[in-house]
Amino acid sequence: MSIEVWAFSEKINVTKELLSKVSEVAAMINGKPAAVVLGENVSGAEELFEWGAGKVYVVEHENLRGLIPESWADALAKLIDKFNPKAVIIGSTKNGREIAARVATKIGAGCATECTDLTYDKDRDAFMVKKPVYAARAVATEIIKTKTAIITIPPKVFEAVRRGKSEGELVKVEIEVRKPRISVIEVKEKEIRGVPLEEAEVLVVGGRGFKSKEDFKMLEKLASLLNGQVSCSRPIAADLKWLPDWVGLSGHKVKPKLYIGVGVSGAVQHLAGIQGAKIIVAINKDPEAPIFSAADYGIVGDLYEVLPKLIEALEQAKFHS
Amino acid sequence: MLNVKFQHANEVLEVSSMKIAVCIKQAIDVSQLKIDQTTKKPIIAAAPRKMSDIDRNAVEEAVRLKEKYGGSIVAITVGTEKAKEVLREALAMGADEAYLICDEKLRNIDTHVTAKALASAIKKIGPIDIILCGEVTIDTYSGQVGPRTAELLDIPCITHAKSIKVEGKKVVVERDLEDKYEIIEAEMPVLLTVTKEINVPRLPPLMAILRAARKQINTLNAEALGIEVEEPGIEVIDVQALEMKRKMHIIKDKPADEAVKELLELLAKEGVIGG
Repeated sequence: MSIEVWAFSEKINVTKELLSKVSEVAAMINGKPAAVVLGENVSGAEELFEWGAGKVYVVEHENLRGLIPESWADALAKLIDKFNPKAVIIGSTKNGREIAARVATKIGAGCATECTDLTYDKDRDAFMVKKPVYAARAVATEIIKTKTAIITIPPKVFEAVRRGKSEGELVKVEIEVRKPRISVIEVKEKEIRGVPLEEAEVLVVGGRGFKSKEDFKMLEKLASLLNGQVSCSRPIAADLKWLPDWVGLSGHKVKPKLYIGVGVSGAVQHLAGIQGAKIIVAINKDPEAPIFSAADYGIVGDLYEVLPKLIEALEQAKFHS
Repeated sequence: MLNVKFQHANEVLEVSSMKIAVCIKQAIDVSQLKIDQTTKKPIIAAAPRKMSDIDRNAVEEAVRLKEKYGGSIVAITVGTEKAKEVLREALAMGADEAYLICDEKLRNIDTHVTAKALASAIKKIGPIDIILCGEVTIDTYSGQVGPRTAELLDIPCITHAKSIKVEGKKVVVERDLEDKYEIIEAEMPVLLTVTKEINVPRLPPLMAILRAARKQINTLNAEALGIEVEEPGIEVIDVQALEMKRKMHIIKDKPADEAVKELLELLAKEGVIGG
């Protein structure tokens, strides 16, 4: 049987991103890039051939309804047992992380989580990853020593690449999948605003320096002048609920050309989430705020004085151009 | 287990006193981590440690569930003697018992062996209805130990809980995902990982801290747990500090309009605004 490297995510767009890296590492070991699609009723699995999958495994089963990680992990582990891929790269969404943890436990595999790079180390004859550790204060290099390697990679780390080829081998597999012991009784979709924060070119981010939700309108104004998007730090979304989601290690890890943090002090977890930004700007009245030591440019000043001036200056610039 | 019988309308409900286990970690305090400037490596051994932030939310949730529905709480950690500190904190917050899993053999273990130790301890301690963990720890952010422990115990697991209710023998949990919330029901026993938003952890009063300092902490080693300590499946080859190569051009002591003007000129020069 040929050597295979698999890409798996419950989100097909993430599977496409993973396939970029999977194709690369599969080539290093003369293996075949493959993808796994699970679900109660699967459609569009063939689409993945265009994104680099030479082979797509499909498992359809009624117990895969509603994405219960316990059942999905059961199906994936059985599939791994049957076809012995060399590595399985899993998209580390919240569900993906649980699936990876359960699969690694079931098959006794080493599991490297939240990786941002992956290669095959010929000397050590093992997959090698890089991953941020200690709230992105450091980067660890690790190798996976078990027969099968499980590796999780967050969404948006790699870009999906459409390839010319659109044919491959579709393998439908019949396996028994364990019945989930939990049931989803209600789903509430979160409000979606604009483009995903990960794709924003300019991000204007508000923090605890703001006194009221009303004042966030200034950020909206600033963002529209810069063709950017508004977001916030964790306390604003999680505790005050002014916005549905936040930027940071536990929220969106962003990589805009320009990040402007207004009234954001810069907790390590927040700073870890903005490391990908090209230019970081901070506006804060506290000269000791940690964000200043992680910023390219900054103004020490009260946001209630600086922000109106900034908006005014940008409006004028727009008017004169 | 204590069994209480009481009349409820026309039926007799048998309610057993709920037992909650909360798994906590003494993690590296990443905000205080120092970097060795010659080797460019983080100084792990000397780094201050503390109870991982979200584990504190797990302890708080355990105490709130106990206050609301009755029952008792056992706090468990895998660590060195020093990890007794976080168990004492959990006791001060309202846990009833504490277990330290401590063994020379468990020094450099991965999430797999940590989960094995926790699962064995939970089995040994006795029937547990709810196991609580933080969704991730502040130092490794892997979120592995909770689901792995559930897998080893062969019980259901609900990650990222932002609210928890107990209804009879079931839990009803609101789960916070990237793009949606799910309301999930599961029979106990169940393992739940909690988010930071689920509650605001209490600061225990001084009297509770003093009482906790005198409480007994049970210790378990690998032999007592009957676990085999396997080689980690992952080998760390290197850890390098991530240098923040930022320009740190900070404008201060200037009137707002001047500061703004200077900033915009700098940003235009970088090519990130205008044009």
